[in-house]
Amino acid sequence: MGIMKNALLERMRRKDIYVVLVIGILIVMMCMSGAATLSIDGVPVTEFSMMMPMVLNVISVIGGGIAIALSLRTIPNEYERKTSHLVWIRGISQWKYHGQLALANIISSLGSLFILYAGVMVFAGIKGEYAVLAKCIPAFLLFSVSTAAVSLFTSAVSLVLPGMAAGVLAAALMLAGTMHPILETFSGIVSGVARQALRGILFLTPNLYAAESQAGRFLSGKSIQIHSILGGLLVLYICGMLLYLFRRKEA
Amino acid sequence: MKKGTGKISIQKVIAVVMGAALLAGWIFTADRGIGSQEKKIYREAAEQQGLVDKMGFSGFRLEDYPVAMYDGKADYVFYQGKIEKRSPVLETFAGTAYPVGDHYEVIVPTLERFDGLLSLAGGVEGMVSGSGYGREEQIATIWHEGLHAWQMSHFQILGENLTPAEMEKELEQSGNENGDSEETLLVKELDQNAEQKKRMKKEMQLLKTAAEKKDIDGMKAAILEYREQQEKRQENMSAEALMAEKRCELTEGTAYYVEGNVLKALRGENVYRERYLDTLDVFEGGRGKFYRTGMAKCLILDRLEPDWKTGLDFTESLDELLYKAVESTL
Repeated sequence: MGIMKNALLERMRRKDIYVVLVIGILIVMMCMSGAATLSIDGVPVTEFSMMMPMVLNVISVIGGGIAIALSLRTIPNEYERKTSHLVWIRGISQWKYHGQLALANIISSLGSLFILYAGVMVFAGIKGEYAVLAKCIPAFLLFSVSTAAVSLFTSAVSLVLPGMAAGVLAAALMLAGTMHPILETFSGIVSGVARQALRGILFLTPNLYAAESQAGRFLSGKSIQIHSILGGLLVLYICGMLLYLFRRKEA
Repeated sequence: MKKGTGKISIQKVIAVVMGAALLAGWIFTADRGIGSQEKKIYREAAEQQGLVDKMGFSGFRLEDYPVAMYDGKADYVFYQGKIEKRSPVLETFAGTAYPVGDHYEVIVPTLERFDGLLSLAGGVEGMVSGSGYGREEQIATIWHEGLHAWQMSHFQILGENLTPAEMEKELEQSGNENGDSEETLLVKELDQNAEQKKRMKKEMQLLKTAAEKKDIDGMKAAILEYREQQEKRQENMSAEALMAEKRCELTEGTAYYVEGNVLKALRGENVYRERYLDTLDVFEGGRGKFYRTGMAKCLILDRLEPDWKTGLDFTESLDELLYKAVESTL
């Protein structure tokens, strides 16, 4: 656990958290903007029920981006410092070493996500949506599965790919996963090679949106889909397996 | 060393069991077939038959036509109490009545997929529940397309006699033809001509006024003024564009009228007024405006000639029916 604690403390020393806080404040301001420019069926889109799914979508994408940024360099940096032999001589396996660093990545990513998510809680409180407020913490657990998976995937691919390639791959997975239903719909509109390409992307990327959208369903009192939550956990598990299977030659 | 290997082995076993359990749970909880929401939509749509019967389109029954819901991968066809899965007939998201073999079917995207379409159009997934399109609107759309299936199955619309096979061929070739489509003709001759567009807008206002008039005399006066305005506009249009206008108004106007009345029953008078009555004079590019003018004419006919739908065979345009009704009451 010492490895994980050190990695987390290093995060705290860095200024990443301030950037996340600023984004969080911006999200709260966006939620509370009184200037309704969009009205659907006579209901201004500033209403909580209308804003909440939109804000959750925005948060999931920003949170995913932050998870990639926080997780991309952690393990490679440790190897670049050439201090890993100090770990091996203590009999700590490479998997445990990577696992603890990846866990630190997940914790810091979810911490950042929670700061962003707190904007929704503040917004719910201000709007007097106390029933929603009471459900915010369990909803966060549902919401965080996909961000945790993105962080874990980034940690895993950072073991075997150069920084840029790992970042692009993780971002592609995160974006395609978050936009899965949109891509599914789009694949039904286009034809020919574009359709085959989209279907290929859909086949290769997990539906992260399905997992995280359960939080919105839970908050708005709709029934949650167990299948989607299990799907999210399965993706998390597979990313964990990748972390276990990928090794660094330096070790 | 041996102890350590054993410990890792237990961890591995736990990890494998966890993975297998997750996978099994995920597979076990997967949707098989069409969702319960879509089944409920079809059931509720069929339940509106009594309401539609009261509208007076004799012989129009939704259950006479297969209703296919396309979820992006397959069609789920509701017909005669069964639901059958098949390869999609139209691999595109459209609400339409389409020839399939020797008959016409209603084809709509599932509401879940429609939700996705809405998000693609700039909203977010899940927004459909809070937007203007939901379960009731989907039911109204099914009835709209159902009316088209009935029109094409039983009538020679404005004298045009096409079998489902011929219609299918025509639809397949429509993207490759050299001539202008109906939509393009209407855009060219109306929307892109400032004077014609102005006249059309005026006509729409007159029709709305006529439809809203409480007294029959006031209604007829508005219709006569409308007719005058319409004749001026139509003098400057090609025969093809005129036919496109008449056909669109007759087929879509009546379908829009059915759709509106179904939605009124499901969502109430206020929604109906806001979406259909208050927007009767809203000019829309292409064919869209004729949905509204057609519906306005249906509403006026309801007042002037309450039995106009009995025996309606779609061989006459709504204008012909309307002017006959006005003349018979003069």
